[in-house]
Amino acid sequence: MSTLNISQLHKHFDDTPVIRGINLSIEDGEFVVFVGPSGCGKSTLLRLIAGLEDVSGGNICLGDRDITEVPAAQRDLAMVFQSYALYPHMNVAENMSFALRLAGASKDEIAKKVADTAAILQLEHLLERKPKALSGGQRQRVAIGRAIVRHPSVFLFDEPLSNLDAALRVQMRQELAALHQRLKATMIYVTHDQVEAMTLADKVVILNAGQVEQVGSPMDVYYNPASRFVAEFIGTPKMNFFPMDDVLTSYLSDCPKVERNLNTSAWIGARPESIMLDKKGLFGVVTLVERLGAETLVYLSYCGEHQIAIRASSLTPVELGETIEFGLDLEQVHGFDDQGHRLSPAITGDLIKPL
Amino acid sequence: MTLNISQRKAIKHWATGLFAWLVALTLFFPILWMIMTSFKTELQAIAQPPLIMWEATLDNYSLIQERSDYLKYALNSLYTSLGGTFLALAIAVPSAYAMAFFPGKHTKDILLWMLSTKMLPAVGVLIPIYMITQMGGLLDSIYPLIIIFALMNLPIIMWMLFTYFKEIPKEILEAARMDGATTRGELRHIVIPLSWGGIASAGLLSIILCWNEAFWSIQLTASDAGTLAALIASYSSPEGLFWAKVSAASTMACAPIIIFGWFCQKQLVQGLTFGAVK
Amino acid sequence: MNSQPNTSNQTQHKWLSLVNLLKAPSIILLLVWMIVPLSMTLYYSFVEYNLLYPGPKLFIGLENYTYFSTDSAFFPALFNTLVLVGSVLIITVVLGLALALLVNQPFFGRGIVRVLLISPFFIMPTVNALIWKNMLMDPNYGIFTVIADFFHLVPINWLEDMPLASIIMMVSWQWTPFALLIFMTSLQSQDTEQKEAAKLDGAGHWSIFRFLTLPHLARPIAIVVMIQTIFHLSLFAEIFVTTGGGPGFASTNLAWLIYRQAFLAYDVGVASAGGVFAIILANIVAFFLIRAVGKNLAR
Repeated sequence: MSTLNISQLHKHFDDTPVIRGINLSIEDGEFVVFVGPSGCGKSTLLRLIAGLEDVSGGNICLGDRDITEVPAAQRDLAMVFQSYALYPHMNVAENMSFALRLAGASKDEIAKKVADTAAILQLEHLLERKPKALSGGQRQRVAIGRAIVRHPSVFLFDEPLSNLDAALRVQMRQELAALHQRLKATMIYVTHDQVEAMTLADKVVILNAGQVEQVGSPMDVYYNPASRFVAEFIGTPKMNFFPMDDVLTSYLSDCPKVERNLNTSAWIGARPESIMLDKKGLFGVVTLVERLGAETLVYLSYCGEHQIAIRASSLTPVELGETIEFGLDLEQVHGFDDQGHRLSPAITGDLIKPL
Repeated sequence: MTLNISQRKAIKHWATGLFAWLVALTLFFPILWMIMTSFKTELQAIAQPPLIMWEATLDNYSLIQERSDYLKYALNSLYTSLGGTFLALAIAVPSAYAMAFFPGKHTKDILLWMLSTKMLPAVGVLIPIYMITQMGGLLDSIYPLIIIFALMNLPIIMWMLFTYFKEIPKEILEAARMDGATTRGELRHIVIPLSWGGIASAGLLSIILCWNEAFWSIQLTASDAGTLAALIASYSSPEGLFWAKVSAASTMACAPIIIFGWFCQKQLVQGLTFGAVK
Repeated sequence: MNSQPNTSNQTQHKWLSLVNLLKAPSIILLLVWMIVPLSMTLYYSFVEYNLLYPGPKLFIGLENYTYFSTDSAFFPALFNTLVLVGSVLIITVVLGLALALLVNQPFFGRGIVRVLLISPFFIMPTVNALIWKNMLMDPNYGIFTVIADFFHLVPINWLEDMPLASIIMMVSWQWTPFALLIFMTSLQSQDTEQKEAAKLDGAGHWSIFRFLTLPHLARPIAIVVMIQTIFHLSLFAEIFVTTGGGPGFASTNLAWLIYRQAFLAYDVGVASAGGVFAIILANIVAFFLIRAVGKNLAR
């Protein structure tokens, strides 16, 4: 039960730097999600915390204990692997009790802990089975159970849901959230799926090419992206970007949020729901209409080259090829420069606090 | 007479079966003949035309022990096979484990080099080995045989174990590490239980190769430490044209291994092809 | 919180030495097994050393080598070695393949047939040789003679008239089951869906064999070739028990030639020179084999 502190962490494989100077602080009981595109280093970061890879530079501290040089077996962390990594020659009960047996716990203690954990995860009827006789979802629960039984200070999850089918994934996501509520344990979760990140996290850490792009709550990251990278990564459909041409400059001339002297190499970002069809000022040609039932996504071609996605109400009357007029919710737009840095001031805290 | 598909299939089925049985029996015939001869008297064995029906006798089997102390040779074969296998496994298991889970840049090269040491004909190193054995006063003892057998089979056993160990997903070992296992713990609780099949196959193959090994047994032993292979070889000299007895001795010498082989086909193939053929 | 950066090479080095400690024994032992006898053989090959004439071991340069290679049996032995290995390889692979295909189809008693077919591989080489020598090929009482007489053909005195071919037969008989075993297992793992797709595309048996089965078997064939070459280059027991290298040098291979020099002529020096030749040959073959096949194996 303690804080995890990572400072100046570096890691390179041969000569390739994979983690470049990461500083991070994870509070007790937090559910932290490392998210980012493939190759951004999120799994590597998790494995460094776990002790499965050696650190090239920097420190990792758990509470007041520096665990940078401590071998994985002694860090008191539990990990759920993407492929579950269950021991094929042991049954479910033995899989879950392995760590306890290694630590020399008494038979009674082991039996009790295994039974408790099995109850939480509804595995009681599967205790005698071997992994190959289990379904994907059941195996995943056993993998989680194996971690829970040890009551570690921190749980590590390495893309645990990616091998499940879509329906099961949704269900397990909700079970994980419930588990976190119940155990109140610190959990570090790695995924490339930003939906999982948004729904499960207390704190989201967005990684890009071995560096932290932004750390914040899901809402924070959604409404105040620190960079264009974050803005584009979080949110589906992606945020739309408009180049600052003359049309846009005059359109935004009385927008209070955006700086007046944005030069022409800047970009304006607006999420699909921040583009309104009942406002006026800008024009585009409809290229695709996706009617999802609850809402409709309208895709426009803006100035002949940029594709814009608009979140519209379910029964919006649009047709392919139509030229339609739209406007932006000026309270919710962001400015980014050519390098992807954010220019506009952040949206104030009041606007994004959940009700 | 035109046949429909199922009739043609049936004929094909029976024809294939017949043909296969013929081929199998032809190929197996020499062994069959040997077994049959072992139950004949010497005169019956060389009868012309060859006897297919005769009064079977167990004389040859009972005389074997008398004439040539069969038991001693059999025990020597047993000791050298088991000893050589055990030694080779003891050396190979930790080595293969290290190579499979902590591969270096040259791991594959090292393994291929090991395999190439087997291509060296034993005759090439016969003299030095003979001299060393002689100098150590170890001629006609089973101990140098055990060591030589172990080293002879080490490359193949290393390859087999390496392939089996490689089959274990790295993540399972990482999970074991997270659960608190030391390297020894990993070996004991995960690696060895999961690769028992591979270790057994390697062991079986080694036993077969040691049991059948003739070269070193003939060269380095006389009367005390001779193995069955050497014993049989000694029957080849002209003064020993005792066909029936030779057949009996041979049958007894080969029977255990043949039966072994029958039961362990699958594992042997897996091991021999380094896991490439499943 | 300690914020001093540290390089964690210590753990790396600890790991490295433990790991190397584990790897070491096998490598070291094999190295010793290779180097000690090898260097001794090398040494002996350069001195005069005949067990019949004890005396100081004089350095005589390449004399042993010249003696060995100018032995009238040298090139025949070299030739025989290559012919032996090559022929056995061809016969066992082709036959093994054919039998594997045959046995891959379902028929009654298939299990027993397979057991019968693989048995020869487990027989001791010495027994194998004796069976062929005494029971099959013996000019007076052997089965082959009986069969020849039955068909009123002239019986062949195998071991006298066709010694090399006889040895090739024996070894092939013993090793075909090996190839068979490997190919049998490999065929069973062949993707049936692939074959079905090919049939739908109009492929006949031969096309399926040529374009699907054969490539699937490429790896097992490579392995069979590799393993058999390893064992056949140093073939000894069969020659020892049957022909004794003869008549003349007709069935002498390199291994037997060396043995003859060492234990029949007692000339350790020359035999060692022969040993070095054998080693060179083995290395050349190994080099090419590993080049061609080893990459396939080591994936």
